[in-house]
Parts: sequence; C-alpha cells; structure tokens
Amino acid sequence: MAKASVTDPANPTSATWRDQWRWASWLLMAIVAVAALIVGVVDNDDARTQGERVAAISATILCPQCTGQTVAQSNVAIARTIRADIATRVSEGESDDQIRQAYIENYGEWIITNPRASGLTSLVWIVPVVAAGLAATALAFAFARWRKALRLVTADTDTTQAASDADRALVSDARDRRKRA
Amino acid sequence: MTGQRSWAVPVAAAAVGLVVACFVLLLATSETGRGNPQSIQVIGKVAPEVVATTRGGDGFDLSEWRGDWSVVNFFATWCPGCVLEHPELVEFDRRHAGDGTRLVSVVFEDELERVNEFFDDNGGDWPVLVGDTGRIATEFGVTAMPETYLISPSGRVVTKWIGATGVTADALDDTIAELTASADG
Repeated sequence: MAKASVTDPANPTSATWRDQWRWASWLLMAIVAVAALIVGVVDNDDARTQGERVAAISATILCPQCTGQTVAQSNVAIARTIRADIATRVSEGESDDQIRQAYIENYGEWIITNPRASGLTSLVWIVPVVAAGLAATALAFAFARWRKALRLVTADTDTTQAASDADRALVSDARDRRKRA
Repeated sequence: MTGQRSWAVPVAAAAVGLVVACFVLLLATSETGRGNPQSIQVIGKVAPEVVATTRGGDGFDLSEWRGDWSVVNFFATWCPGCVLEHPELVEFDRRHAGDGTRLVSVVFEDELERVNEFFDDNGGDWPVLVGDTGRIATEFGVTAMPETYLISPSGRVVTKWIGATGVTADALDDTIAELTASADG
C-alpha cells in the first residue's frame, strides 16, 4: 500500500508551507527563550542604583540569627549590621560577587541563599538542567513515535487511497446512470 | 515494543531514585553547623583587623597586642547575656592585671552614653571600642550577642564562646592553660 500523504492534492505545497511555519515558530520561541536567559543572567551592575544593589545582595544573604530569613527580611541587630556593611562595601566599589564571597569567607557557604556553581553544590544547578534536557528529548521521541503511529492509522483508514479500481468503476457507472436518467 | 517498555520503566525509576538519593546525600552532608564554635570560619585563622576608637576617644589596634593572649568580646547593653557574663570578664581582667593577657570589648549596635553608664555602674576599665564596628563584627562572623573570641599570641583565633550562657573567667583561663601546655609540649 502506498504511504499516505497529508498534502492537499489541490495544493501540493500546503504541507511544506505548514511545516516551514511550524519550524519557524519553534525557532522564534527558542530565540526568545535564549535571549531572555541571556538578559537575565548578565549582571549589569552599572545599570542599577547603589540602593537597588544593596537590596538585591541583602536578599541573597541569610540572617545568621534567624531561621529562614534573609538580612533583607529581618530587623534583628546582626541583620541591620550586615545590611549597613553591604551598603558600605557597595559604596567602596566592591562587586556583588566580591561582597558575597566576603560573607562566604566570614560565615561559610550557608550564609548565601543561592548555592555556588562549583564543587558538590554545583549538582543543585546541573541536575535540573540535565533532567530537563532528558525529559525534553524523551518527549520529542514520544511525540515523533505518536505522530508516526497516527500517520499509519490515517493511511489505513483513508478511503480515497484505499479505493480499488473496481470501486472507482462502480462509482463511474453510477454517475453515468444518473446522467442518463 | 512491549519488551522495550518492560525494562525502560524500571531503568527510568532507578535513574530518578538515584538522582533523589544524590540530593538527599547532598543535603544531609551539607554544612549546617551554625552556632557550633568549631565550625565557624574564623577559627584557626589570623584574627581579622580590629582597628577602631575606644569610648575614651583613643585609637586602638589589636595587632599591637601580638605576642600575648588577648580576648575580643562583642557586647551590647541591650543584650541580657552580655550583662550576665560581665562580672566574669571583670574577674578575668582582674586576674591578669599586668601579665600581658588583655581584653577588649567591641560595642555592637549600641549608644555611647548607655555604654559609658553601664561600665561606670558595673566596672571594667579595659578598652571598649565604639563607633562603626559593624565591619569588625562581620569579619569575625558574629551571629548573635554575646560572642567572645580568644586570640593566641601568634594572632590566630583559637576558639569562641557564644550565646546566653556566655563565657567565664575560669573557662578562659583553662583554655589558655591547656593551649599553652600543648604548645610547650
């Protein structure tokens, strides 16, 4: 049996056109996602005020005396002191990473809300990305297999393709009889 | 197709289980020892710079005490633990008058008038650092009041006491004696 085609016989280019649109839309979505990631990841310190930088850094440093609060959220003495120290360090020209590194050296890794992307803690960043990649690949394979199965079913049930010469002759005779009548 | 499915499901389940087990292991072995004196970053390192102004208006630099044992106490009048341990620090200062072992208090988030009033009422004539002391506290890794750090003659932080129970003169002396004996031995 000939393989079924989804191309419209009256417009043989329509399927190709639809495929191109589909791929173009996926490509556009990928470009937007990558651009958004790049914009989000690039740390442009110069574009923020010192107050915004102090607030942003404070939101990533845990209050040593509290449970589950950052120094931005707490108002205990040590949290106020750390906020003031961050403000001083920002005004002295230290970068965000330098300030966070200073706190890691003084208190330990636990003081930072976001684990660093090095050593064993890098697994926290790597594993979700790898898992998402594997899941996307598995989904792509699954969709491809489902589409192939769907095409086979469509071909099996496509009455136009399945019609035999005898069927066509029967229809032609019926039309002739109607014309004569 | 069915054969593939029969092994694919257990393999996928095993992979997910392995990832979950790794995360549990990572979380179980991560550093969670805050409040434990032996897990604090500054222990064993050269003491951070302690340069400030005393409540009497004089300049102070801890590095000038290098060669003798010294004690750095973070203190505030609003802190009940600090008030509770103050007599012990007075006793420690009295025991070591003139022998080189010295004590300095770093005032944390407090007002000069209250600090002066407190020391006038409760005794203690060692240097008390006031003003902008926040950087000193964060460099030592202070988490809560009161905290007391013992600095060796070589300038390294050897241990710390933290919390409402505070430090005692005997605990300080015992630690100094123990560490001096182990260094001599």
